[in-house]
Amino acid sequence: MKGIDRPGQAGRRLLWGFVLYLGLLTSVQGHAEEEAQLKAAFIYNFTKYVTWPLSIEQASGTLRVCVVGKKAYSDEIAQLNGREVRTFELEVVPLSLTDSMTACHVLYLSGLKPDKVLGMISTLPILTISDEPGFASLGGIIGLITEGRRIRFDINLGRARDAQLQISSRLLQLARRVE
Amino acid sequence: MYKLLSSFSIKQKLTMVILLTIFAGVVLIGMFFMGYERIQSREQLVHEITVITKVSYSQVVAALEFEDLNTLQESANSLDFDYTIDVVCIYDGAMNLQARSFPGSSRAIPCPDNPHADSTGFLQGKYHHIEDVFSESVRVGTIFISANMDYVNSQIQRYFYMMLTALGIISVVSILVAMVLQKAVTDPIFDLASTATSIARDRDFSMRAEKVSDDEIGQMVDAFNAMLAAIQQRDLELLSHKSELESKVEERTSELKAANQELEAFSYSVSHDLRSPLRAIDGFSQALLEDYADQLDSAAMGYLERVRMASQRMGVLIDSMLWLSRVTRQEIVTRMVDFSTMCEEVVRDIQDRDPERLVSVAIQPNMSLRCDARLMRIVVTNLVDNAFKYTQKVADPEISIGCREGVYFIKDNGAGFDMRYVDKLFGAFQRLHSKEEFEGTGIGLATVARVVHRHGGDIWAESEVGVGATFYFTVSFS
Repeated sequence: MKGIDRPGQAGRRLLWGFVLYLGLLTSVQGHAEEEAQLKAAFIYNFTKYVTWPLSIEQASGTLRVCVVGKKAYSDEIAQLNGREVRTFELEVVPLSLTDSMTACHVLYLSGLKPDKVLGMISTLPILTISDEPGFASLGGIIGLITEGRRIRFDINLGRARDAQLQISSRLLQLARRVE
Repeated sequence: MYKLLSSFSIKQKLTMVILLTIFAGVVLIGMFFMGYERIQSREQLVHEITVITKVSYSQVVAALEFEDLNTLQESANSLDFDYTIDVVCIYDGAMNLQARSFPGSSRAIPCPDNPHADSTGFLQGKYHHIEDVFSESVRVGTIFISANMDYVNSQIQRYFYMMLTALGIISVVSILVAMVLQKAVTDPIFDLASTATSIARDRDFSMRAEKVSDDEIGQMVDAFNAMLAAIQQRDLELLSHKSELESKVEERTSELKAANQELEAFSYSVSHDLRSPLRAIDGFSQALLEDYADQLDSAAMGYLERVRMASQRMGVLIDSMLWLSRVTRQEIVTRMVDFSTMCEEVVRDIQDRDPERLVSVAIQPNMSLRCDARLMRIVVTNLVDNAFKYTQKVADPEISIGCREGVYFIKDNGAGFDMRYVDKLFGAFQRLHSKEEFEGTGIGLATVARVVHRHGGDIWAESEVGVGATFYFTVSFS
């Protein structure tokens, strides 16, 4: 919607420029939106294939998805709030680095170095997801990788075991790399 | 159909009945099994596809959720499990085609644009299985599988060939079995038929058909034998009757012969032996008339004249009887005779006796026949003589002689006779007219009839009183 306002101010003489600009912007804008949407969908879908420790599974109720980092809390992720998965209802919570993360079940990190956060929650049953490059190698559980217009993921199975999380073989099958 | 059947023997008919029955049975069973196999194979196909789809379902769900095209492709390939499957297509939630199996053959068909789960089923020889893929109650994609019926059809084809083979084997076996079994039915019939044929050919009614069974054929054999016995009995009776008749005929013939000879001897001796006393009567009457004419009055003279006339007529009668017996005894010698000329001669002789009378006689020329000439002349003489005699009182006497289609006739326009007495016409000493009306001995026509009969022919007459008479005769030698 912003893209439509701006060329309106550029004037009639720049009609051609406006058209090109519009096309470019919407394309870039569309791409970014699509990626955010995909990532949100991936986060949602991951929860289908991951089993938390028995205490959490039996408690049912809410599955807390914590979102940390700059721009990490997008509209698309926010829309996951209230959606149901298996026996849970998703609750999306935007957090800052200083907040306690022990109550989270899923932690999505974006736009920040993950080392520090990962150190804090090392053995807690939290499914860590991030689009930081090499996240799975750095000690995260699922690292998202953008390949062109597609998103793929690596899984660090060892870390998942440490966090007492069971990952479905279906998901492992789809992973680009399992560490 | 029945007309065609009627030309076959019972054996062939029985074989055909057996074969056709078995054929019908095998074909019916074959068709039943083919139909059953078709349903079965289809159900199996549906089941297989359903199971294999369920197996890869979760993989497809995950791959669709994470948009993993490689895994989707793998799933599609794994679903394409054998040659039954033409193509497997996997669509995402927005019905965009995401993966398609490559069976690598010409069977591959393009993926449809918008497959709908409701259109699962058989369509134009294909089975389309369309399954929507759900995750958390949200449709994330659709699997489309198109299967061909090649296997089903080949299965049915195999049944068809099996049925053909079975038909072949069963035909051979049933022909063999029928050959053995039908002997029990056909052999008694054949026996009966051959017995009947040989009886019809040899006319030997003493033969009997052999009874081998107690069924309808056995009854037929019994009836046939009973009929033969009846025929034989009747034959025997006929034979005894015949011999009886023959001996009777022989007896009668010899009796008749003896009687005939007696009669002939009698008539000969009568005519012969009666002549001399007759001559004595005539001679002494004449002597009385000549030598004692002056002593006798006119009445005595008249009586003597009458005695003479009577004795002379008696002489004529005796001559006629001699004629008749001679005609009866004489041997017949036939040759071709010019009948027209013979008639002309006879007519001339008769006319010469009374040249004053004018009778118009028409004789058909060029008539000839095979006969005994002397006897035939007697016939013609008698008939023409009669014709002259009975036309005495007619103003314009006319006589015609001719032949039409082997029948000779002599026609006059004389007094004729009453057809009521036609039976008496050809009997000896039978006269239809009084001696005063027309003179005659009553021997002539009897002689004529006898000659004609001895020629193997026949004689008859037609007449109307006052109009005329026609005499017809035939001769069998010509």
